[in-house]
Amino acid sequence: MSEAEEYSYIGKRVPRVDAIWKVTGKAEYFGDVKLPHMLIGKILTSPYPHARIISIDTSKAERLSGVRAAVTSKDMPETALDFYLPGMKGVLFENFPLAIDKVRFIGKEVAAVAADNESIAEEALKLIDVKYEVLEAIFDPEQSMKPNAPRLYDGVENNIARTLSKTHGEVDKGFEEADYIFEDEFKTQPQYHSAMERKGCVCSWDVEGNLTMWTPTQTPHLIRWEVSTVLEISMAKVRVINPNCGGGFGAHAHIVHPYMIICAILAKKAGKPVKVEFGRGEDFAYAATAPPFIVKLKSGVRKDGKLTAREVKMIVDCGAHTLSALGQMKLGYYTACVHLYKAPNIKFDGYVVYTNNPIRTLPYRGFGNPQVAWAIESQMDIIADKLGMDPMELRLRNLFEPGEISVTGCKFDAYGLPECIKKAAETANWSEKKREGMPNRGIGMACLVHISGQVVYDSIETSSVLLIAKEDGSFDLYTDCSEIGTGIWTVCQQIAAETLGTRLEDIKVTGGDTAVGVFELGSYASRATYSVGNAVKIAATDMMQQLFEVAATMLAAKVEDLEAKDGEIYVKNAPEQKVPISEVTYYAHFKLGKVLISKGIWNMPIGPYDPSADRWPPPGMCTSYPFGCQVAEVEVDPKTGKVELLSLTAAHDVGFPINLNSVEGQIEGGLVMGCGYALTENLTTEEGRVLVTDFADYFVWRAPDIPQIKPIVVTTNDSYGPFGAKGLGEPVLVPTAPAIANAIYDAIGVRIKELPVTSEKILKALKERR
Amino acid sequence: MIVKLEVNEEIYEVHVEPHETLIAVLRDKIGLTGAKRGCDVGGCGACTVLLDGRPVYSCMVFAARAEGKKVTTIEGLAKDGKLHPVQEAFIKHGAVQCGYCTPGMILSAKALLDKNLNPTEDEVREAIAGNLCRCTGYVKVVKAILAAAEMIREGRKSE
Repeated sequence: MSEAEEYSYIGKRVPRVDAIWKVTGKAEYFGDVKLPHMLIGKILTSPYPHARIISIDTSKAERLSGVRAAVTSKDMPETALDFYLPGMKGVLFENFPLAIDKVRFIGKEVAAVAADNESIAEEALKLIDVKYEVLEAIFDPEQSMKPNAPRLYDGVENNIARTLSKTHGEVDKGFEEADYIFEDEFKTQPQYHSAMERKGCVCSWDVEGNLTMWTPTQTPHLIRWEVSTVLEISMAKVRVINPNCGGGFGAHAHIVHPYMIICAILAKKAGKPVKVEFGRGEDFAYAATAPPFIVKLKSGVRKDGKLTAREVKMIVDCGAHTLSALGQMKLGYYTACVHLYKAPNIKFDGYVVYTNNPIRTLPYRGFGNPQVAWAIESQMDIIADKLGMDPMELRLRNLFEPGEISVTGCKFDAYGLPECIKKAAETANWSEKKREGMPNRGIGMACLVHISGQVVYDSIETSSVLLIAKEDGSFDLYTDCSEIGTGIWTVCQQIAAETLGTRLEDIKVTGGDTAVGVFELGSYASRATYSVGNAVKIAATDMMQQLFEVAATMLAAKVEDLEAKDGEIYVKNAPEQKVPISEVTYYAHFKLGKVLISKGIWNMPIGPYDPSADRWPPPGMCTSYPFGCQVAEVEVDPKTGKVELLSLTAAHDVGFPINLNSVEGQIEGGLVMGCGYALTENLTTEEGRVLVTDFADYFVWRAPDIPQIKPIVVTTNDSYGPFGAKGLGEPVLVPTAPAIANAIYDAIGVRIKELPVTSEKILKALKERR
Repeated sequence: MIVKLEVNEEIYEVHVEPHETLIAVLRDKIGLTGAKRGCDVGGCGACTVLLDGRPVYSCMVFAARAEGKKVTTIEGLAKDGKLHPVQEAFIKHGAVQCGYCTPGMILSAKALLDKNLNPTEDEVREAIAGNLCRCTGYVKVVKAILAAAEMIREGRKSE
């Protein structure tokens, strides 16, 4: 279909629209916002993992000079924090900004103050007197499910927050048909997002009762929706400004954080703007992580490698609040369990379990897929080893046929997985390296399927944009999709310019302010390029039509005979008959009295979900499925257990790459994040307390640590995506950890089933084997 | 106490507390917010500035200790509206994503190139080892710094 050569801007390495701001230090982040008379807000949190609050006395703190407001749960709105989108309310449970009668984890917000400066605010926190009755706590999710475990909530049996069960086909029969049955248990750790910017916000109320909130967010409109619902004021009275966002990765997706409401109420009570900005230690202790999963995986396989049945049990520790744990478990099931390889018979039982662990299960790049892919892709290699089969061959034998419809109704429009496997293997010299079998060196592979757009909640999946022509032929493009670093605004500029046949510099992209733009879900779920890109294309196509109608009058030509390129509209067969777009917009506005405005809205075109059959009509749970295959090469020192990562090769089916720099940047960044997930990163806790206080305790990879990285872009031209593009941001992280662990097994024959795969674990396993 | 700070070739006389850090004074008293606060304990490099040409974590330096030294922040890099080659290369080679680490990263790179215009890839990686980045995976950052070195070399040749 489409090729990059046909396009002026699509598929090119177009420089980012925000780069000039960022390289000069002029890009503003919320921490740079400074308002007159702004106060500093600080939050007091629970020191106990489980306790009843007997009393809170803030009077001493309030009397301290320079303290302007102190708040407890009595000052907070009565509405709990929740997702307030249609079809999603009630996802959360008892999630109040400040604890009301009980605290259920170390770090739960209990009270807060606003003061003239940080040191007074910190001093004031020490003067708040909270009396607790300490209760027995529970930290192990499997122990938590037992009848005699301490209960977190009245009326929640066995601390089981949510359950989910699905069955397809006949699992017992499937296992009977198997020649081998494999049963393994895999675990993942809490991974910290490690955005370089710390969390926080600035809140300011005006005299009319309008709230303005500056905060880094992936979803400004959802924050507005939720804040206005909780505060019981209209959406028009809440303005969320998202300056630049110093890294998202899910930490700023979707959820209204307690500190946002606390900050808003402090500002209201003090009558002055308030800033809450976490220190790095506080940011770690806030414990916003990928939820840890336990995956018990039973697979039936025939001698020829074909999967016959799968039984999967997942236990997800959600800490004291469900937050996004259920959604992540669901997506892990729908991606890695059901759609990575074909298993005709599947049984799935999932449990989201409360504990007193300090975990806030925020979305995390991949949203449950990395946790479940860790299990599925590790076990694929266990199976291949037993069968004496090349792990690549085993994977190829279990792929879907082109055009095949899955048990849940998914039909892959552009199925790039076979090509991803082929290209990754070729580039990494897979077959040769497998044959060589150098001592202590190993090579491993893992694959992924993902989604473009959120599907796990029965809710909306919408992007909308506005395009306004200026009198001189330039255009304002308004999107409220957050630019969290992915390059989405540049993608919007490229798509608008390409569609309109105008120049890049004629498109000015503006966003990040709910007072300016129209509804946008935001930058998460690998949806932005796909969904916002489609909305931009629709708006630009409409604008083109409007421009052609005016130009047809000016050129005395037919609309259908017109084309545009480089800012000029001309007659196809007589290109000398032409008019610059600048004259067209001027003529339209001042001679014809036409305001040229267009809008684009994209609602993901999928059918209704049938819960009894666990099925959508094709194309299924989304329209555009990204795929990928990564190959890792390692050398392991058997004396120390130290893993040296030699190279990572990553082939990703992106549909079509709108901006090659951004596509490669996502792959490279995701791989390095995956290295941390695989080998070093763990937000360790002990008795419910986060032990990490700074980056010295939490090993994010640095420039000298990174291996050789080979990104491969696979083009498949998805029918639904703009110019054939589909999502990429999350998929890149999904297969890295199992690819590395499979390489480690290939190198030294040791299989670690719990992330991260540390030298200590490898060494212990080596000793046990001897 | 009053200290005289030379920042980006401008003199500022500012009142500082003895324990006040350079990052706090730059951001809150001089109004230069290009250096970012990421951890305040010398662990992430987002606050990197140059002190007499050497990269330092400005969260780990008392403001008073910077007296008599030349402080360069990201705002002082472009001259007469022209970007420094490192800045240009970061734009061209896609080395910028969320941008939070970018000012510190660029200053560490400039310090390297000021003393070594022919760095190896490993030397570049070492020079930015103190600057954490969660977005890019460093690949394009390293590429941009090597390209900037080449741009500067070529520029000198043609002069």
